[in-house]
Amino acid sequence: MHIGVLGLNHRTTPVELREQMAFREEELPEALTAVRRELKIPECVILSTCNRVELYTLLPELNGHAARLREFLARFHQLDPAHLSDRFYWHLQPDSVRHLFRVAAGLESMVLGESEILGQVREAYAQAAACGSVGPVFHRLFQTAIRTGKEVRTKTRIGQGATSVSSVAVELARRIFRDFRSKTILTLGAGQMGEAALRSLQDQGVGSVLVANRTLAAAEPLALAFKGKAVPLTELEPALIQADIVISSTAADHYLLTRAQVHRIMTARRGRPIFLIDISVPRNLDPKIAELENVYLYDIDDLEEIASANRRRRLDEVTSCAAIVEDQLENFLTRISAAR
Amino acid sequence: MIALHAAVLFASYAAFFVAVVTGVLFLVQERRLKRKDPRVLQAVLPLELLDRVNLWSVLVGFALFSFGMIQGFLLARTRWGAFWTGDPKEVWSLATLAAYAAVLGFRASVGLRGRRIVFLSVVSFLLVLFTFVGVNYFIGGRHVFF
Repeated sequence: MHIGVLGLNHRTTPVELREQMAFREEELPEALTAVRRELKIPECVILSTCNRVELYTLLPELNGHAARLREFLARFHQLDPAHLSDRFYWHLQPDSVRHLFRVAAGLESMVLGESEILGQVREAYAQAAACGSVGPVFHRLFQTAIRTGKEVRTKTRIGQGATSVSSVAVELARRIFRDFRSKTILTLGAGQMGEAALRSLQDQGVGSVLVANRTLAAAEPLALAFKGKAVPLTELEPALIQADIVISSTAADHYLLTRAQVHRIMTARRGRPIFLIDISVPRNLDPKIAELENVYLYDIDDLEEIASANRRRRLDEVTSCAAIVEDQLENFLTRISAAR
Repeated sequence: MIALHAAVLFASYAAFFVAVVTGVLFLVQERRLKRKDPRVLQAVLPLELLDRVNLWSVLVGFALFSFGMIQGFLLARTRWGAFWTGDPKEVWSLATLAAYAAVLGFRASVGLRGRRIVFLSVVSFLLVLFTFVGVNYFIGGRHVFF
C-alpha cells in the first residue's frame, strides 16, 4: 500500500486555472466515489481550497496512477489534459505524507503559518469520511496531520503576528480601544483600499460607520453597504469630532487634514484618543499631526513595516516547524508499518 | 477607631498602587504606539482600559484617603487636643491629597487626558510612599506605628 498525492497550488498554477479545478462542496461526494471506483483504490480524500486542489489516495500497487488521476481531474472539470500536465506535483510515501503534514502546518500556504488551512484539512477529512472513502490508514493519516498542524502552532510562533496592512491596523486599534461597539469609524474616500480596511475593522464589531467623500453620491453606496452614513466634506470636522478611527484612502494629491485642524478637533474632543490610518499614496494626512497628544497616526509604510517584520519572524520559525513535521512523519510511518 | 484609621489609609495606598501599575503600563504602551515600535502589539490590555482603571483607582484612593484623614483629625482632637497639630504625617498627607486632587481636577476641568495626566498620577505615588514610610524613617513625629 502506498500513500500518494496529486495536486496543484498557488505556486504551480495561476488563479484562473485553480478556479476551474476547484471542487465545490456538493461535487465532492460524486468525485470521491468516482475516483475510488474508476481507479479501484480503497481510500481517498480531496482537499480543495482557493489556493490548492489535492487528491490524497491510498494505492494498492504502483501502476501509472498519477497519469490516470490527472486524466480524471481534467475530465471531471472538462478541461484539456494537455493543458494541465506541467501544473501538477505528484508525491509518494514518505514525501506525500510529509507534504500533507506541511500543508496542515501552514508551511505550504501563501501566508506562511495561516491557520485557515488547518480547518480546511479537517473539513476535507470529515467530508471524505462522511462519503465512506476514509479507511484505517487515512483516519490515522489525517488525524496525525491535524495534530501536527495544532502542535506546530502551539509550540512555535509560526501563526503569530499580523501579516497584512489591514490586519496590522486592526491589531493596533485593539491596543488602543477597549469596546469596539461604542466606536465610530470614519473613512475619507470611497475607494477600494479604504473599503478593505473598513471591512476588516467592521468584522471586529465596530459600532457606526461614517463615509466622507468629495462627491456625496459616491459615498452613499459604500455607506449603505456598511449601514453607515454618508457625510459631505463640508461637514468633515463634526464627523472627525465624533469618530474614533479614521481611514483615509482618497486619490487627493494634497493633505486633507493639517496639524492645526486636528489640534482644533482634539480640543473639541477633550483629548479623547483618535487613531488615524492613512493608506493613501500620496499621503492625505499631514505627518505633523502625529505630534499631537492622544493622536495616533500610521501611514501605509508604517503598517507595511510591521506586517513585513511579522512575516520575517514567521520565516524564522520554519526550521522548528519542519522538525516537528519530521518527528510526526517518522512516528506515523513506524505506526503504519507496524499495523500492517 | 485607630485600627480603622490605619486600615482605611492602607486601602487607599493599595488603590494608589493600582493606579501606578496601570499608569506605568499605559505610559510604556503609549510611547510604543507613538514611536511605532512593533512591540506595541505584545500588549494585552488596550490603552483605553488602562486609562479607565487608572482614573478609577485614583478616585477610590482619593476618597479613602480623604476619609482616613478626616478620621485622623477627629482622633487628633481627642488624643492630642487639636484637629491640626502640625505633625509631619499630617503635613505630608495634605501634600499627597493635594497632588491627587490636582490629578482629578485637571481631568475634570480641562479635560486633560493621556500621557501627562497619567504620568502625574504615577509620580504622585512618591508622595504616598513618603507619607507612608518616609516620614517615620526620616523625620519622625507622633505617628509611631505608621
